[in-house]
Amino acid sequence: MNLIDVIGLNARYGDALDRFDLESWRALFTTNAVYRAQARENFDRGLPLAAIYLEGHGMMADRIMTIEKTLVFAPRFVRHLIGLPTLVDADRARTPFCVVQTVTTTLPEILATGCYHDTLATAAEGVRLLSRNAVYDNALIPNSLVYPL
Amino acid sequence: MNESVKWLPMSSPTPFKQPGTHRIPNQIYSDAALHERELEAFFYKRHWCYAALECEIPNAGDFKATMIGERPVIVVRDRDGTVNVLENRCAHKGAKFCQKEFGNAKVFVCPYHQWGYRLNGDLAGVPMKNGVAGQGGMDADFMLEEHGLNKLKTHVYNGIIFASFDPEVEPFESFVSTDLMPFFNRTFDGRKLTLLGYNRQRIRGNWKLMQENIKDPYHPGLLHVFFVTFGLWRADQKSELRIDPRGRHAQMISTRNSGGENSEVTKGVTSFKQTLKLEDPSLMDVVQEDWWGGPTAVMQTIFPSVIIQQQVNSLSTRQIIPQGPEAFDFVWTHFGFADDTPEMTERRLKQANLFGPAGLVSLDDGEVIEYCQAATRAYPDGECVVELGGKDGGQATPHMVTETLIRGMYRYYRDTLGL
Repeated sequence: MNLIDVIGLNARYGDALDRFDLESWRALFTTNAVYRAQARENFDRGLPLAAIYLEGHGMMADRIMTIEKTLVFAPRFVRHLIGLPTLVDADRARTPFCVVQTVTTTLPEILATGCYHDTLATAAEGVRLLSRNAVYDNALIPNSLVYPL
Repeated sequence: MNESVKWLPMSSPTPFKQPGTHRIPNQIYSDAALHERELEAFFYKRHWCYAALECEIPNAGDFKATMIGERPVIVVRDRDGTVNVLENRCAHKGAKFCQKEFGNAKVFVCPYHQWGYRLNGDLAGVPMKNGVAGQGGMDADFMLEEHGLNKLKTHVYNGIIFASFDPEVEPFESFVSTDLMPFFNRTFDGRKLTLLGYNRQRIRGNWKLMQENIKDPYHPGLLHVFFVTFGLWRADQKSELRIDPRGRHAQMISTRNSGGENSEVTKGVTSFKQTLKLEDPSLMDVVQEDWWGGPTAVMQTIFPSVIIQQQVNSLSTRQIIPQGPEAFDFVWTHFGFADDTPEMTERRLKQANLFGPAGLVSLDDGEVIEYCQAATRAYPDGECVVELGGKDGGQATPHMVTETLIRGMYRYYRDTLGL
């Protein structure tokens, strides 16, 4: 895979989340893919806990269902600003990100900033995520982490 | 609108407008002067506050920086294995000398003037104490032993560490109370704990709102749609509430049922969603553990600083760190037991999806606490109504259709602050 493929994947990833099109977000993962949103303090120290830990399309669908049907939260916009990937080797990439959120009529704030640690696969429909760990530098989340990073 | 919002002057004897605690004055969630009194009375005097789990600092020299109330402290394991809790405040100029959250140290050295401290807080040395080339230096009566770090009273109990700034604090078990020790011991019975990791969130609400939240069995089956739909916590479950005699600590003890429709608890509950189904069983892959002895959830509030969670296979401490009257940091430390199988660890990690800032049954709590803060601060003369289950001042009950535990906490609050 090449840099352009990964940039394209990330563009679609951020676009899907920012439009709340969570089904399209899920489709960027392989069926058994693992998604984590993990505080950097856990990642750096080898502690396994993640704020969000989903294994496979089923758990991703359950997370989407809870966001859309069961969770109570103030309306918000999120905006993924995803930097340029570094290809670590043939199937792994690291990409910096910043997610800004705007909750109702309050001022925008940084929800999280960090680095995606990805394992990638090439499928018939293009590059897909075998795993993505959204490792966020800020230990503190400003209250709620509603949408995936 | 010429009706101006007025704060009660501090000379006012109490913001409470009537006896009892079934009405809570909005003012207590925003008042800066009251907040200072709360820190002093609850976090710095006469209370044991949560500091750490022993498994966070397993080896000699391991330390963790944390907060008690709004004061920075360090929890450190000394060379002989004892645990010390020290103020993270240099005795010289007051610098918060330790900036790392975790680490291992042989000594603590303040970077400003390199005063060095042993792991028990004793001052080991100060540069230029005897002057340079016969000039300057400390006076002869400067004694190192008079300038150590303030060392907190520390209690290590079956893997969990509490500390107090107050050397006169009562014994830990009487602080928790004999009524609550059995369920406290159910989790912390001496088994070795393992650390799974942390979640931290800043919630822009008064710290007491989080204590209230976990003393409030009224909301989970209503606010948390996930709970009521999948039967983890709802009003038709076998349950009981326990409270210490002074009203400050409590336990909500519950046994899950199969969920689904039950006209008394789901009829009219607009949040109940009969048709929702999980595509993957992982979130509800609950395995009964022997030590539960029945209840599937025990939520403990140890006033003022911590909540201890067991919700099915997910275990955590949730530390409350005030940030002024209108915000607090909420620090979740998830743990398991040393004899957990890899499958059980994986289960605990997957069920952790329910908790923390992204938690399917806890994200809503942080949200509604901010909703409460936003409106109560704008109406300081207003009151909250806490009358489910009556107007008592906090009592044990064999059900959870009551706000009695909140009334109990505010009975203690009024008594202690003289309000």
